[in-house]
This record gives sequence, structure tokens and C-alpha cells, in this order.
Amino acid sequence: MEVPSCKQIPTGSQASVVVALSGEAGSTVIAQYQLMITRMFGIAVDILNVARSLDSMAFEMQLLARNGVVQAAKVPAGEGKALLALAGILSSYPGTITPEVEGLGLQCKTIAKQTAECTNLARRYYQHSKCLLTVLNRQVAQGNELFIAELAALQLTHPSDLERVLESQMLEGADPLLRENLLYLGRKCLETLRRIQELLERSLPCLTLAEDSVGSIKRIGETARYLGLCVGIEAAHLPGQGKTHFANLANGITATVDGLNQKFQVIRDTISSGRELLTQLAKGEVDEEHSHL
Amino acid sequence: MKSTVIFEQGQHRWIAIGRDPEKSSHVIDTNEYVIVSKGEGMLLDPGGIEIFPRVLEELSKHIRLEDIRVLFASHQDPDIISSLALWLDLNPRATTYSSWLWTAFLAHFAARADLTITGIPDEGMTIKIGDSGATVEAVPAHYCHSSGNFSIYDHQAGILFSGDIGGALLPSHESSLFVMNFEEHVQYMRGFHVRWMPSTLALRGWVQRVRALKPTMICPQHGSIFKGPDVDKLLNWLESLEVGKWGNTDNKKNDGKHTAQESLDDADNSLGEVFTEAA
Repeated sequence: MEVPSCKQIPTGSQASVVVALSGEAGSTVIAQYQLMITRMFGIAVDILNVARSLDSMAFEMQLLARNGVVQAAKVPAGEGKALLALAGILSSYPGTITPEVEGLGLQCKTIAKQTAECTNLARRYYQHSKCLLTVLNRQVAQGNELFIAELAALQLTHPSDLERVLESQMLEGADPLLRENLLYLGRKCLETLRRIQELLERSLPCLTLAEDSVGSIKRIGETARYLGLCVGIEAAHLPGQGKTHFANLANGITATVDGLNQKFQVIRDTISSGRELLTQLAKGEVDEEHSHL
Repeated sequence: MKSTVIFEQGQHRWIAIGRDPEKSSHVIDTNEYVIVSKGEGMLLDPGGIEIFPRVLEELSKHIRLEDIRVLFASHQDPDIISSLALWLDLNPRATTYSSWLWTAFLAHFAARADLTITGIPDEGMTIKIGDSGATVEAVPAHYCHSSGNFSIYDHQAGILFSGDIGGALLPSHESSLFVMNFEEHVQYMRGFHVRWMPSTLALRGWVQRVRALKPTMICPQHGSIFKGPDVDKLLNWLESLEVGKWGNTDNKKNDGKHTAQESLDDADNSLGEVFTEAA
């Protein structure tokens, strides 16, 4: 007994051509969906890397502030009192940044972990759903234009579309073994897709928390900049070298906070594109623009 | 892709799946086999990720997917078993068998924390196909070509699944599932064996073991199936073959994008160079 493949099925009608095309198109959409998830994983790693670099900037600020404390101690008692206090407050700031940076890192790691799992699941989903679509098109639709149109309209990137396939009346006409296998495969696909959606949805609040952490770090940085400014004003009254030292300290703080702000902007932009992508993925929407790595 | 029932006796069947016209030319052509016994199935060398959807498509015509009980990998190559994770996702209850040598390596294909692969000891073992009562024998084929390698013999069907042994890289026009003319077919096997099989001694040992089994059909993972008198012809040919030959092909520039046919040509050229050197 030889079971004919699609190549052996008589393909006289125009419908058969559509059959093959709609199967291909469906797979292409799922492949794009898979690429978008991989891209989301990349975004999570990008945020994580920038977040890690904040650690070194916090350390840099701490060194500057400690240097300020040492310099302030050298200034005669009365004149250096205010500077000593300012430098002391400054030196404690990096310590307040650390938990925020750690929190940001944790959120980024969670997003990266969840999207990595999604990438893995999406790769499998692509293969399983590709088979599902191919069998539906070749073995079940077979010239049934209504079903072909139904299949062509599907985007199997959202559970509701898969549910529609599983409940379709058209499956009733299929060979019983094939129908049972299609339902089995369809249910497995649905299970995988739901898991992907769940992970994607869980990543969205992590992005919001990451953005909150960035906001907190930015506020700490701006306070440090203000304190740096105060140091500069206080130091203006100092004679000679002391004045230069504190002016350098104030400039150093401003430069470090500027550097921090640049990184914040990068993180914010990345978080923003990540949120856009995640929202789209969670809705099962796919587009050409976002499916390039 | 096409599926063909190559043996049927009562509720015991062998199905060959292969000849995929849709696969990329850079992907070597493979045959997948499934034994269905009383509704339960054993999948032999399930294949790579690339061809998985089409193998599954064909398989779904013959057996309930949830009734695939056993997955068997003759060895560890990607064209044999890189689809493992996809099969196990569909059927987590299936038991995977392969040489004990590869169990921890194959786990890299599976990506499942709960995976257990049953390691076949070097001397082979009997494998049950689910609860149906049907069994097959894992026959040692070490160093033919992999260092931990098994063939599968089904006593009831008299069929031996030989993995890469007897394999051929067929040009597209030679797509017959069964060998039609053994003498003609040898040209597609020679390069494959001489270059990929490392040990003449091991190959001859395998031939002896297989002769004792008296199979009526030998089913390789690449190329065409041998049946009737061609089984003996194959065993004789393998027994006379010197393998593990290598020319200077590694000095050639390789762009890493060889088609299956180019790999075959390379293997043949390498063989030619060996003969030239010997002369």
C-alpha cells in the first residue's frame, strides 16, 4: 500500500495551488513570530548589559565622593565643615544606587529568562504548527474552497485562531485517524502557544518595574548633581589648591551624572521598543518590520 | 515526502518514510521507518529538525501520534535524532533508546529536564514496542560508522534496519524506494561507505552478525532498500569492501556549503586519490 503524498494528489484545480500557498504563508507568519520573540530576547539582554554598566558608574561616583571627604578633611576646620558634610552625603549616594541597580538587573534577568524560554518554545511551535498547517491544507482542505479560505485567513500566532481550527466543522470530513492526530497535534500547539503568551504577558510588568528602577536611579543621580553643584559653590570661597580640588570634584560628579543620563536614555529607548514588541507579541500580531534580527 | 508500507502481517507493519522533494539540497536525504505493532509504534531514526514537519505529516496517516511508544537512534548524528525534542513534546511518554555511549550527548537535543534516554549496552538488547508484546533486537554495529552504533532486527518481519550501513547518496533521478539494479546502485554507496565507515574489521563483524540473522530486507537510513537476493549481494559487497580511506580532500578549499551530491563526489574523489596513491 502506498500512501500518496501531496505531490501525487491530482492537482488540476486552481484551489490546489491556493492550498500550497496558504500553507506556506501560514508558516511564514509563524516564522516571523518566532523571530520577533528572538528579537525580544535580544532586547532584554541589551537592557541587562546597560544595567550592568551602571554598577561601574556608581563605583566611579563613590571614588569621587571619598576623594572629596579626604580633601575636605585637609581644609582648615571652620572653612571645610560644610564641604566635609556635603562630601559625606555624596559618598553615601552610590550606596543608595546599588539596590536600585540590582533591582533593575533582576528585572532584566527575569525578562531575558522568560523570553529565552519563549524562544525555545517558539522554535518547537513553528515546527509543530507548520506540520498542522501543511496537513490541514493538503490532506483535509483538498479543493474545499471554503476551508482553504478559512485557513488562509488564519494567523496561528494567537490561541483563538488555533481554537477555531480545532472546532472547525471541516475536520469532520477528514479520515478518522488523521482527524484524531490533527486534534492531538492542534491541542499540543495550543498548549505551547498559551505558554508562550503567558510568558510574554508576564514579561510586560517586568519591563515596567525595570523602568521604575531606572527612574529611581535617575533621581539619585540628579540629587548627586545638585550636591556637586553645592560643593562647587562652597569651594569658590576656598583659597588656592583647595578651590581647584573641589572644582574638579564638582566637575567629576557632573560628568558622571551626565554619563548616567546617557545610559538611562539608552535603557529607556530600549525598554520602550521592548514594550512595543511585547505588546504586539502578546496580541499575536506579527509584522515585517519587527521580524528582522 | 512519501510513506510506503513495506511489510504488513496482521497487525504488524513497517512503514518507510522518505524521498522528500521539498527538502533543501544542502540537507542529506534520509529514510525514516516506523514499526506499528498492534497499534503501538516504534520510530527508527526519526530524523533532523529540518524534515520533522514532513515526517510527522506522513506518520499521522499511519498511527495515532500518542501511540508512538519508542524512539530509537542508531547513533548520535543530527540527521538521525536532532528532532528528539519535537517528538518528545508531542509524546512525553515515549521511551528513547540509543547506545549508552550517547545518552548524555543526546540529552542536548532534547532540552527537557525530565528526559531519560535508555542506554543500550554494547552487546545489544531486546526492545519492547510498548505493551503490544512485540519486540525487536538491537544488533551491535559499533564503528559502522559511529563508535556507539546499533541496527534493529525485527524477527517477525525479517527486516533489519541498518542505519548508515548500506546507505547511498542517490541523485535526484534515482528515487526508487527499493534497489532495482544492485550493480548500478553500488556507485551511489561506495563513496559513502569508504569515507564514512572507519573500520573494515568492524564492518565485516557486522556482516557476520547480520548473516546469522538471515534478514529478508535491509533498510538503510539513506538511499534504497535491499530485498530478496539484493540482501546477500549487499552483504557480500560490504564484506569485500575496504573502508576508512581518506584522500587529500581536507586540503581543498571548502566553502562549507556542500550539497549532498557534492559530498558524494568528494567521497568518490577521495577514493580515487587513495587508489592512485596505492598504484
